[in-house]
Amino acid sequence: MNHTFLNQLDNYVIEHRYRLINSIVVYENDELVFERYYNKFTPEKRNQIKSVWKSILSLTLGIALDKGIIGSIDDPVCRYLPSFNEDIHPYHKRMTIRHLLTMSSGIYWNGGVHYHCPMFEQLWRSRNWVEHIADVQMKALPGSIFQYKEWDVILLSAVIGAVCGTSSWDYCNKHLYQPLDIKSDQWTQTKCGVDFPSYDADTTSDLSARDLAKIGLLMLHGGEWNGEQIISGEYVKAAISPSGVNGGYGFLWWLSDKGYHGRGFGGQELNIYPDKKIVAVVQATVTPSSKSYGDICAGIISE
Amino acid sequence: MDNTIKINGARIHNLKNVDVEIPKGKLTVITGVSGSGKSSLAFDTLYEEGKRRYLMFSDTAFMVDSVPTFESITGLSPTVAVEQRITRQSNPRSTVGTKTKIGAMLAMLFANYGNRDPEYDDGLPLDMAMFQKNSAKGMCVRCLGSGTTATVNEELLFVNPERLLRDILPEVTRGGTGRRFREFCEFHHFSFEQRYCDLRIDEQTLLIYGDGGKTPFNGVIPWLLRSGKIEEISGRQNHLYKKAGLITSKPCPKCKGTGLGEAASHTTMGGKTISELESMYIRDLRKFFTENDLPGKRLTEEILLKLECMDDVGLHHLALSRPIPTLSGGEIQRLFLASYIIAEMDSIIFVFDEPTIGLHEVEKQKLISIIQNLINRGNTVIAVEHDENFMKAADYIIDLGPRAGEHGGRRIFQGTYADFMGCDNSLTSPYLSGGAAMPIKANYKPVDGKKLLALKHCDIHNLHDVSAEIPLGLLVGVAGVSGSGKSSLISDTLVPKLKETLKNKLVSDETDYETAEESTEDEFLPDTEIGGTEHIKKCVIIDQKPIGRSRTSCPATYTGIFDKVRALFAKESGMDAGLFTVNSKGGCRVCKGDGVIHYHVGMGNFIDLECETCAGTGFIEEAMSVTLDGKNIREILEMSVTAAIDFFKEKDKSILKMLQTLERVGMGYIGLGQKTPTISGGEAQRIKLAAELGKSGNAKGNVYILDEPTTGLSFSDSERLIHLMQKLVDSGNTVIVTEHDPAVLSNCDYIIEMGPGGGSDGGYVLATGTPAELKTNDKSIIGRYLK
Repeated sequence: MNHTFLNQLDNYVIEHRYRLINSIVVYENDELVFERYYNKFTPEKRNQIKSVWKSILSLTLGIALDKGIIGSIDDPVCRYLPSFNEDIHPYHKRMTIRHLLTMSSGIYWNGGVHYHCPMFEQLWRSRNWVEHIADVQMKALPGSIFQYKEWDVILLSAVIGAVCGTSSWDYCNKHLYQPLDIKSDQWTQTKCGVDFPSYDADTTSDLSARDLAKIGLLMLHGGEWNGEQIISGEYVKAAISPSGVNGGYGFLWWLSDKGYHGRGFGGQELNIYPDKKIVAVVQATVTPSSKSYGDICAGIISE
Repeated sequence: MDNTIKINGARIHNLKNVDVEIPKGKLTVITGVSGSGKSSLAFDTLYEEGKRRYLMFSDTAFMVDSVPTFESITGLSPTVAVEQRITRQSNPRSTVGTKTKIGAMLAMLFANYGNRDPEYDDGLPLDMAMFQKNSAKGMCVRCLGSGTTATVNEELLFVNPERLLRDILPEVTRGGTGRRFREFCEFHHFSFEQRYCDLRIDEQTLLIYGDGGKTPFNGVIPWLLRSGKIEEISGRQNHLYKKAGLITSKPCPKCKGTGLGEAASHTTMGGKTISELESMYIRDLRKFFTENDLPGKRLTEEILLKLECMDDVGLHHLALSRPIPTLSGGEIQRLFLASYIIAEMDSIIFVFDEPTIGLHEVEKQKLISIIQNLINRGNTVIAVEHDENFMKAADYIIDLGPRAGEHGGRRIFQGTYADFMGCDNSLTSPYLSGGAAMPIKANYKPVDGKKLLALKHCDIHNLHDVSAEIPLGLLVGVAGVSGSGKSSLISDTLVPKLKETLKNKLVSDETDYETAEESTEDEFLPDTEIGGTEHIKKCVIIDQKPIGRSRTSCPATYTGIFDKVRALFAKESGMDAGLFTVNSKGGCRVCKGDGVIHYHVGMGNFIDLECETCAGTGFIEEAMSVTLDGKNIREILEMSVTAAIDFFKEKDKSILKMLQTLERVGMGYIGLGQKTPTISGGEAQRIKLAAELGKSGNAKGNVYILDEPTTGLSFSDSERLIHLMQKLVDSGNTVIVTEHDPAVLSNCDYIIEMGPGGGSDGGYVLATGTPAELKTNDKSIIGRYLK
């Protein structure tokens, strides 16, 4: 931990004109060692988490696996989503939950600006998102190529919703957020009943910086929270191990040589550095131009 | 102000210091035999310079001065040209609708005024992109806008579990596929002779879905699915898999073949969806817009104006959805003409390349009056043309020649049409003045009632349950106005049916298989019957598609001469034959054999500069240093066919024979190494004809199918071609030729005339019989134009 950097961080933020940053929270050895809020933010005020939601969804799936409501990570998707069992494409029956977790479903994705596919508009207007995605052309055999895209997490959220009988939000809230005392609004649900809060500006999945840091601390402790095993250590380990298709990506978690990370559009960061026992959160206001503040956490952990 | 354009000392290609004066505000026709230098003068000199000067001073483009190809040109105005050869290569997704922008206007109209099906109305505003299948917002997500999807027949693939691995796919052990499959089998310790059912379950999965990139064979199903994409699997394999029923392409079930997403499929105007409007013939679409009172006046009026112009230039038979690459050179040119008319400009110099190509006599008259309107508005039109009536309409004639290539390139005549009649040196004028009339057939070969190729219940496109009998052993002409159903009957019915029944006795280009994906060519015609194919030994299709698809394809490679020349060089030098091709060891490393390097200079502009490493030859020095009788490989490729005949006379009989055949079809002027993109459709067809004639020599019982073979040919060259077709018939073959040229039709033994109109007004057999019979047949339209 670079305490000199931390002591000058306020100046650093001003010098770099990082006007959109709302909160920076750092834990070391489970102790809150640094906390700053800007733009009238407070420890209680929640900020958008954007695609960090994907990493949280991964943990939700892990819990569902632990509890046995999903048989295996290698179960075919078509077992849970009948739209993928209609022989629309020969690859559909090969697609497993693991592929969804590793962004390797192979479904065609036209990567537009900021990862937002122009085809998304058609999905937005469609009456049944899962059916619509099942109709989208397959680009590659599932598991063969990594491509960061929204389809895979939408399907994953739909799978969790289908197996738990309510919605992925309900399941996450009950088994992850409540035990950790994390406060969140209900995730935005699409008109066809799939929870998907990470795309639009109006969606709800906001968390306070401290609550987001709790997710990091949970990971750091191998899924254990106050003596209770929330997620199996086995799943946590698998989620932050390189997937076969991308060495820098686990189960919806980004990996680096320093640690593992949840990342969201507009500079949302949840960084876990296991060697240093550090969890660092940066949150910022989302604007259409993609901003990122990787230099802050790099400075914090620099020697 | 100058009222003439003066070109002095033009000397590009074979031009020999030509001086011409072209009156402004008039219609000038440049005539001459093929290869005499018409295009060199009109396009490579006049148009290039007009374009260059305009672009230079308006700062729209950056250009470098190349070697001057003329002394001086004065009196230029901004110049626009439509060359057929350049527009032939085009984006496969480009359609008549996208090219004319009518598609975008329709999309705008639908987005703003469309009636939405309440069940699909999500309350959100519509966006123009949702009506365009090339936009990610509009394309059907399943077929990605192509309108077709490929399905793998998995059941058929494993219907026989005892099948050996070598038989798992047709020809899986051959060629490049074979190499990949062998590597796959060796890696996983499979044997070709193993039965599928003897593999373990996990091994079967490996075989079906691949090993994730460990070896170059990616599994049976991914392999089949990739075969839909031509760049990865050969057209031939794609064809084989389709024939075996392993892969079927059909209209996309989600969008029903429209290529558009849900919003577009459930929005209508005047009761029609945008896809329905786009598949209507221009003439019917025009009627639709006139008869329906639609909102969006400014847009609809603009659309209507464009449609009227397209109808006027003879494009009434096209639909907006028609892909540009399937248009003939003439149709493309008229498409541009329509846009010029709409622009309503004056003082422009227009340069056209045979604007009457593909037009029926009736339509030609209309085109001539449209061009005369351009002139009346104050424009100058210069056309390279072979058509008699077009020449008669010209204010001024320039004749180049007297012959092709080295023996041409001089100005023979310039002046009025009337004066041209008195010109003695021209090869063209005698045909016009009647001094050397085209030979007209008087004795028709009688129809043998036992040898008929009978087509029944043809109903593709606009054909109305047509039945037709094509007499074998004759020269058969198929006539009719544009869109009357000639191509539907021959290219889209007869050819696929013959393909089905004759199978490997049918010779056409490999390239056919590639386009099969998008076109309806391979469409199975269940209701159509064909009889009489037992009389056919072999059927040869000679179309206007480019020869070869590589950028280094040329007449020499297509006809097989090049391989033989290389062998001669290899023998001479004791080196490998691969050294003498730019595609292999002999290619310059820097320009990859192109001889030029393309530099992007911003704003989408390119300049080409000669490659310094090879001095523009495309070959490495080692290859250039070997000579055959004083000529190196590059110099041989630069020879015209006629020059090469002299050169190879004593050297190689088989090369000589092919060269002579090329000359017989009127291609003496073409360069052996001339690259595909600069070869017109008509030229490509005649090269194919020559290649076929060279191969089969004294064949009998064959059927040759040709599509407007006289495109781009002067009178004297047409005469030679007619003679050649007649010789084929005389030695016992059948020639079926779709044609507009009255001279060719008059020399047929039998004519089938389609009509009466184009598009929805056509699709019937109008008249059949000998040319003489058609002349007296009241129903026939072409009859009165026959000689």
